[in-house]
Amino acid sequence: MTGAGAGDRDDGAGDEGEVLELLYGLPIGLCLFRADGTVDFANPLVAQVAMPIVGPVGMSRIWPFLDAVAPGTSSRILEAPGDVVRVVQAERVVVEPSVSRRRDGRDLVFSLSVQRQSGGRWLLTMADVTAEHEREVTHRKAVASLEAIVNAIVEYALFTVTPTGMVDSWNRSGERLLGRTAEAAIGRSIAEVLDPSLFSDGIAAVLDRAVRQGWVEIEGEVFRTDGRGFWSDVILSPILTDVAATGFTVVVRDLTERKTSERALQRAAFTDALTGLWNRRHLFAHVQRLLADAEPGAPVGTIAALDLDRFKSVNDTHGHDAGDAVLVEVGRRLTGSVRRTDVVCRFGGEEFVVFLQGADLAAGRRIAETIRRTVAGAAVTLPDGQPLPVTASIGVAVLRADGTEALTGALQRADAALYEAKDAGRNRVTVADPP
Amino acid sequence: MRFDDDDLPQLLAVALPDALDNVDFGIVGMRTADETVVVYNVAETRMTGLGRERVMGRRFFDDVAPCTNNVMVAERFRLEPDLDAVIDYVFTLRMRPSPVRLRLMRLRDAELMWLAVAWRP
Repeated sequence: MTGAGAGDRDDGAGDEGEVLELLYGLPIGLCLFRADGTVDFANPLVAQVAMPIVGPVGMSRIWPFLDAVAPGTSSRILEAPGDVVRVVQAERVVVEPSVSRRRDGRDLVFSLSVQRQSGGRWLLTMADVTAEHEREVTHRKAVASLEAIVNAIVEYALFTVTPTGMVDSWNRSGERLLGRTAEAAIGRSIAEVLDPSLFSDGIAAVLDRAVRQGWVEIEGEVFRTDGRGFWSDVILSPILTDVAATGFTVVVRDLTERKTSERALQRAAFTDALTGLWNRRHLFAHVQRLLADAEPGAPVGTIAALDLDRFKSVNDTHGHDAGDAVLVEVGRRLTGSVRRTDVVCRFGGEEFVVFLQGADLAAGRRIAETIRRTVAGAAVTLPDGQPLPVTASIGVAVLRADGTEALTGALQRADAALYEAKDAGRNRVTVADPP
Repeated sequence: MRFDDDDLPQLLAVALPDALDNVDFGIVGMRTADETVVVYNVAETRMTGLGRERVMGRRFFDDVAPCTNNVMVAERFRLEPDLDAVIDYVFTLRMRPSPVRLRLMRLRDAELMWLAVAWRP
């Protein structure tokens, strides 16, 4: 033992010192007070928190402190029926920095309990749970923002399942994509909610694979509750804690939606809106690809340039709706008179170009003649029911793989031949000389 | 040496430890750098009931006297390099709320800072 006063009963060197050290260092505040609020015992943690709030004068009774941090608690204690022992049980008290005088601007949060002791006294305990509270607030914010994101996503469904594959969370994304309410989803197996065909090896096997690989992707048809099926991509990922997978996240993506929209975009870029035929951009792209693969100088196909005869007078006499109807019908007849490998384009106005893939000049002339006859065959029925005879003039030119100007050159020659046909009296096919 | 002596901070700075055991108020000396207790006089051990072996070398505000670890005491020591202030305070000596006067003393660039504790009538 050290220091003067060793052996004195007040020097705290013996058992009493041990108990005091324990109580002084206790990380929980303890305070014993009488029914009138007089504080009989308190440990340092109570003074640490209460002193800046109530000052030295306010420390002799408990009420000023309780009224400052947990209003209403005093009367609950004073009015508690005699048989109630635990009047306040681990209630969370949040003390703003303006009250606690904490300098870092953080709320002081503690868990407060008050219980009846013998002799009409009360025991107050308070544990600082600021860190825990802040973690919970952060967690709640994360959950709320995640929920907002999940509820807002479209074309995807995102939900979770238990380690055995039973749905345990559901949200608006699942309602939208799968047409299923939370009541109709939670507690059911993932196979029932999507489709059993996706889990033909058994749910357990799929989930096992997800744990081993980190995730599993399944593609297949998923059915909505209204019976409508759609092709989708399902990704299952384990929710891992340091112990084991506590469940899985499931992301369902509607692939048909994506594929149709991709196709729709591509269509819009390469087709003519009125007739649904290909446009000039597609013809150039298609022919450039063929030219790139062809032997230099080899015949790649034949171009047939077609122009409706006296089309301007159709618009002038019968109106633009009638003109549009004629263009659509001619487009239909052109498509019907060629092979699937041929490309039928509307070039603009009443001008069409048909690319006859692999056809030499003789074959091109024959097909062009068929086209001419088909166009001039039956009269076109206008929207008002009136029949209108239509004819076309066609210029034909061969396309050879001889440099980048090949297509432009062939189109110019076909065009020149087309005007020869017009000059020669229309409704006929004229063939341009090879270059 | 008295609690109210104007030059108490200067006296403490040069006092021998034994001399501090003869005063009638509590004196705690701690290192400015890490707040560990290096002086704890007899009057202080009597007030708190803690023997020197329980406090020497431990951080005063954090581990020995957490009742002072707040904006009124500890943070003033930490934020005010020239500090000599007397405040009314309440210690929980032997678990009983005990009115005391505290004198907080820190001299700029000094190796030690001092806390004096006197009973308040």
